[in-house]
Amino acid sequence: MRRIFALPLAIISLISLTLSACGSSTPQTAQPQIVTQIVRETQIVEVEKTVEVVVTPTPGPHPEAVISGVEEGAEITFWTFYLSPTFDQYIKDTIARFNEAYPGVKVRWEDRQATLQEEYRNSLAAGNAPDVVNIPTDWVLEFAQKGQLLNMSEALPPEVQKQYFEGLFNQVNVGGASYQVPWYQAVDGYLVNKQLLTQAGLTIDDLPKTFDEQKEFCARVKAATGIPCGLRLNTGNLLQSMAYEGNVTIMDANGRFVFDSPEAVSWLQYYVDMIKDETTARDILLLNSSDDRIGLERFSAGQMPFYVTGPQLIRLVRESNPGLYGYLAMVPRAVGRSGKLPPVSMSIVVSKNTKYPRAAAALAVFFTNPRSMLEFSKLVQIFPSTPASYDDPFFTQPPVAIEDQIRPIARDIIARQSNILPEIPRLNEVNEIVRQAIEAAIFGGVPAEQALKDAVTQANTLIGK
Amino acid sequence: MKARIWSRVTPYLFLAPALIFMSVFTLYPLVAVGYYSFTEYDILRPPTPVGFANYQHLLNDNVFWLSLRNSFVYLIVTPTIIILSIALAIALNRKLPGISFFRTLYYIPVITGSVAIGIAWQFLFNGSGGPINGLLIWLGVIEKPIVFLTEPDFILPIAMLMTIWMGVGYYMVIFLAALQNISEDLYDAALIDGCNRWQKHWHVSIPGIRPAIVFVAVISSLSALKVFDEIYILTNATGGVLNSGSTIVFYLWKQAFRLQNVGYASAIAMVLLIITLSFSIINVRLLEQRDD
Repeated sequence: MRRIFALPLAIISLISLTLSACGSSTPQTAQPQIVTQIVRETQIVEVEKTVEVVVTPTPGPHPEAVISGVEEGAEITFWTFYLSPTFDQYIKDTIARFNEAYPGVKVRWEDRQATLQEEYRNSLAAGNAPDVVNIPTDWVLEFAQKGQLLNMSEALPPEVQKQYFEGLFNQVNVGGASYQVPWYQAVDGYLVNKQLLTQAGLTIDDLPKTFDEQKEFCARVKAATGIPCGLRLNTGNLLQSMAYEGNVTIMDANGRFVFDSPEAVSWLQYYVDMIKDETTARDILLLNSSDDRIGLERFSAGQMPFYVTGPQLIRLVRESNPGLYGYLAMVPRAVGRSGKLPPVSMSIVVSKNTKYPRAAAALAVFFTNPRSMLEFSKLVQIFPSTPASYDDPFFTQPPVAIEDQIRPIARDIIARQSNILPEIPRLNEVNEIVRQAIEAAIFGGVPAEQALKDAVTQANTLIGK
Repeated sequence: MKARIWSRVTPYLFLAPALIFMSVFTLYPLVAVGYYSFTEYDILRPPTPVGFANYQHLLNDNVFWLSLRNSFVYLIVTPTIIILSIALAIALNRKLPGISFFRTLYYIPVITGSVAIGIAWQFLFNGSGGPINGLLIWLGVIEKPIVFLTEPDFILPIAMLMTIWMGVGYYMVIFLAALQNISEDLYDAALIDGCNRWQKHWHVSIPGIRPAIVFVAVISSLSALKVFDEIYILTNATGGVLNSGSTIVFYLWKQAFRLQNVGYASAIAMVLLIITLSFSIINVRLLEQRDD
């Protein structure tokens, strides 16, 4: 408490003393002394902003009702993922708006958490799946390949499809069609510990812009401070890391895996070398995506120069180490050899066996329309999948807090995000094979070339090629 | 006549709730798993019969054999936990002031959630500022921290240590109860015969608690074969680097719920069933021999 008042008190004292010294010509019996004090404080700036919502009007009886022929009296169930209780009001308000746009459609909303994937699988198997579900985009492929989702390329009119960034609408491509609508996006950047950078004699400008610079940067930080980087692969889809970072071709035109090319070997060797040189932490590299916070805790403890994460998680660093907050910066992450960035997103899908496909599609589109997305962005550090949302001043005004630093450039980053992976059959099992190969090379001493060659053989056997 | 029928039916009516419960929650799943083990099944699509393909695949699956080996290695926990809990029970089987406090203290891990314990152990063995590394560096045993949980050689021993720490209090209570049933007269007779403290326990305490030892051996060996929580938490649900911590139940879970190979996981479950059934039969035979 005392620290909070220290700075204002010091400033008031200085101003009072200055004014009393300058403001009067009457001789003083005792001359006041001006003492310059330097008070170091970490300030937490909380800014409340009121911004007008820009809505892209759509022709029709209601500007947000863009799906025609919605079933009358439809009752649809909507599952969200980890949004309650924080966003209860937002969800309820959006459903209320949906009811105005599509009167007569009843929405039953339920939030699911850690067990969502299993629950959705089981409900599909039992034939009582929810109509509309919010799932991480990484999961869409499995359900789409097994024929459980509604084809959005067919269900949505072309003008509705165009409201999304093209790369995001088509990011999960199964048989040339999209089976999801993109919801909120995260923009992963480097969350930087400037204090550690200063110790290493580096500045924000020295942060790597490319995948190859990243390796050199980590070596410099390690040499100067003894602290390694905390790079992390996408363990849910290691082929994605390989394709984006290493520009590796995953499958050939005949549908055979070919990720044992010189590019792939070079990509794997990159990590083998870094682990060997201890320039990146060996217990962070293969953390599951659900254990993101383990890496973040390490960063919060001041034991990493940067951590690749989204601005939405900065609040966790502030909670666990408020002293570090003043030394944080958020900058774009290095781009891989492919020159592209992978999407980090949430999707909304519609179960194929829904009784009300049009009402369900309408709800999916409603939650992902420019207005709903913009309003959601104002509540939490997420980014819309709809270009129109970015026309709002909310996204163009200069950033105030560290969390906001990505916001003005988010549109450009998201516009560059697209899926460069082919449709991978039996993704989970192939991913496990790749994981074993990576572990064998990094921790088991198997040459990278051999490890990948074995993995390709196994993966092709698995898919019968 | 009516009374005779009624008296015959009555026992079955009493048994009915338990039988129905067992049929639904034990018998049906057992039969279903047996059926699924001969199919290719991914939960989302109906099972497709594949004959013995899943069992044939088991024979060539290196990770399965590694997991099976790890599960048998895990059985080292059983004798270790028996020896430690008997020693603790003997130490705490005294009428000393504050002894209840120590008995409670050793029991606390038993009632603490395995997830909480797992997280604490992850912290203990953390490669970046963990207390174990700090201690080893301070003692001069190592020069720089070891990232224990990414070293294939360490994962299984750490998980075993955790199992022992979690279970020793529970088995100690069983042995304590057994020790308290031994007549004091036997100890007096042993003293008169010239036994020292060690001989007293060897010749009186251990034979006196033999039924408890057999019981603990049965349940702890079955628990060791079915270990899952420790591996799941310590390895962040991966099974550890190069599957070094994967056990049979963990591998079964991974196949069923991570890779959606429910048919193959069912085949693994059937193998596990045969192993645990064999263990149970051996243990029951041992108990019968003791009764004879």
